[in-house]
Amino acid sequence: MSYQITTNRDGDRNFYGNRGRRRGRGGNGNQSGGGPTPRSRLDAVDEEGDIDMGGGAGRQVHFNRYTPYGGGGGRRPYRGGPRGDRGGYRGNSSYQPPSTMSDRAGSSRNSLERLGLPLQRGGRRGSGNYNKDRHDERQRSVWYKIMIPYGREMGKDFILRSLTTECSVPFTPISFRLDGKMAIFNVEGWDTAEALMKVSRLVTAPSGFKMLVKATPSGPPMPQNLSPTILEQVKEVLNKRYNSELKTLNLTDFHNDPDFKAKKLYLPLNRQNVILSVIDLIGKTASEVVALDFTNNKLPNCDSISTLYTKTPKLKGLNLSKNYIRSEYDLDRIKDLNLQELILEGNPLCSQFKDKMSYVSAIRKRFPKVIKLDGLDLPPPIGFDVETHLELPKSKESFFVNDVVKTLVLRFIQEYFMVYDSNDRQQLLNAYHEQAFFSMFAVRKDNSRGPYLQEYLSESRNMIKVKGFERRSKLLKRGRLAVVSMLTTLPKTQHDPTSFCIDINHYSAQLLSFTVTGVFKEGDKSSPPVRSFTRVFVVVPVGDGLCIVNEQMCINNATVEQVQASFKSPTPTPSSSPSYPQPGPSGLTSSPVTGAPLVAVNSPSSLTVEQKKVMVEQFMKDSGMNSEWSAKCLEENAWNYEGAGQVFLELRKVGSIPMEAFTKS
Amino acid sequence: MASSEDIQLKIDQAATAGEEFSKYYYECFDKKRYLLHKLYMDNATLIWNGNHVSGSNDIMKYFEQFPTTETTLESLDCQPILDEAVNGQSTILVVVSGVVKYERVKTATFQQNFMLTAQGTVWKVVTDWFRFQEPLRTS
Repeated sequence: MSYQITTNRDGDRNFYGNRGRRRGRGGNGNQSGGGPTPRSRLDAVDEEGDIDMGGGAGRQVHFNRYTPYGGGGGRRPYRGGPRGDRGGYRGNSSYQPPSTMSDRAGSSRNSLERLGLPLQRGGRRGSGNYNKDRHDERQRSVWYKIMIPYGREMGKDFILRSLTTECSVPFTPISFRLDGKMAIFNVEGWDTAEALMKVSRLVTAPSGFKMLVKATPSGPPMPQNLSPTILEQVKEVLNKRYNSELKTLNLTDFHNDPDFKAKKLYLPLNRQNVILSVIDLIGKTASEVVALDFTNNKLPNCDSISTLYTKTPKLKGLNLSKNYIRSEYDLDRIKDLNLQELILEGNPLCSQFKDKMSYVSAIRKRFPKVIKLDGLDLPPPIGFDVETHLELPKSKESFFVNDVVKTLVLRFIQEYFMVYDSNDRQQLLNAYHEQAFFSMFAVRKDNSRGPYLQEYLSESRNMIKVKGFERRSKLLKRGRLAVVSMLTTLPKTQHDPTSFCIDINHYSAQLLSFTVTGVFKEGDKSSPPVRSFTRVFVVVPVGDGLCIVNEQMCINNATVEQVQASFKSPTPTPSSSPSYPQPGPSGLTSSPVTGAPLVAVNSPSSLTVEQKKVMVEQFMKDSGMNSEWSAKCLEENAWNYEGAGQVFLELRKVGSIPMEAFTKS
Repeated sequence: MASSEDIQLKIDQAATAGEEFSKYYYECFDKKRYLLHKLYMDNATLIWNGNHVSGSNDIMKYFEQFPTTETTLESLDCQPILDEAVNGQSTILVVVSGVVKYERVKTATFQQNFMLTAQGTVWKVVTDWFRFQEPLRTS
């Protein structure tokens, strides 16, 4: 196995020159699900740098340092010492004593377990059949890393567009990133990886060269969430480090915080899930922060802190000194921060400039307002007096035209989704007009998580891709039977009603249109993916209820933020009938639609005059209004007793019920 | 009731209108926002991330304050609104999804839908609904 060591040493010598290759190692090299191919191993150009250290102890260590995910902060999280030291762990000659290593590894493993991360232990890899199994293993791996050499200059848009066009199967690129000159992302499943590799050399890049596509097994993407207990710890540490007077937050040497050490927690900011959680917490508890200090955190780039600008709008000063930021281009990720002061000293990128002038100019290009760089004053920039709008209006929650519409629509939505989430979507037949139109599209996003949307893609009427008239016509479902039979073929769902946002697009006596957005889990899977949906309904009043004449549904994978925010309330189990809390911002007392079947909403009321009379009498007692107004209220609410009662309560609260309603003749 | 041929025609008409509209709309929004008002009916309504604006004049003022945009469409779908619902007044639903970059502010995935109605020989926006794909309650 000596060739492996050669590779190592070579790699170490050319440390900066081989960045792409290095990076792969952290993410990928040590998963047991799939070993490298014989080709890559013998190839000395082992992109993965998947290196076995030869000795049993070495191998063991290798496992224990398992990093589940190659992305950003995920790399080499457990390696002590600065980057340059790592040669010491690699070659056998300067190999550290196993005992030291296993101690270190042991504690890492514990912290992994504490973090609830997937921890893979030895096993197949150590077995004698390793060589024989490798090829199979390669195909068994769940996750693959796709690498596009020179991807940086091709650009993300170009790469994804070409791959989407050329690749024979749909794929979802997960955590797209640039590393050195290479573009990298992860995909799930061998079939996908293989299909992508077949695209290699099919596309000509803008530079004139053929685009290469390489794939190798990788670890699974890092779970994004830290456990609530650990988040609590992090929150405490952040509180301790936040200076609420100056509005500064000191994150220096974060993983060495004594509080973490005391609890034996290892939470380095160069690991993606840690930094994302930390930034998320900052956004929630310290969004007013004006200066952040990230000194000494081994940050490999600025990817993971790029979300800061949405979370900390007032941030003016950023200290990134003594990290591993290698290229000025990494700073592009954070150029939207409106920085006035920036400290970068102690990062590899600082030594890449031929003189101070070019350094300053590279920084100024990205941060035109910076007046202090590495502690030195810069001459203030001279700009132009042009008005620039750098703010967007704040997003608001649901928009309902008025309470009457709100009640009507909420009730409809509650009932609709209750049936939609049930085992029998057939019941939705009555919700649709005889000639209703329905179509949908599924969007595949590279910045979202979760598996493919193939269950939806076959029905996706995305006219940017579907061009033929006949195909388009076929994908537009017409008539309630066609619509509902299509809906019954879609995966089972469990919607999160607290995620719902409902806007009334249009309201008139003849026609009502509203858009519902939110997230759902795909019901009966073991680890259900969370999807995001947008559904626009056009409905008409029929009888006492509403009836859908047009509907369009958009489905895609939920974003990380959506996943984090979803299903926070006690999860309704799919088996029990979901108790939908009232969506919407006003916190109305929830009035569960008790057993009101959907048909009551949209079929002409089957109530007899006698039944209505009984309801009016009851309503008079409950509301105190006279018979005329009680009947009016019930009539306007489609004889839904609960709904009418709720409308009454709301209107009374705002005092918009005239006195005459209560005077009994 | 419309014949099936009629319906096919309407589906096709909606598709063509939606394609042209989406192309023109985002081109205007990104580069010629001053032309955008021509696409809206005078009494059109906008719901932008839950903010309600009515009247094309106010909608234009609202858009004026936005940073420069760069929109990439990823999906588009169009349907004719059922005749019975709109008393035969030709109306279509246009639904899009894409990514919008607000210069120096943010880049976000969005969904948007429009209801367009025929005014003589031109389509005009009656309603415009827009939201980022983001959770509103993050607690």
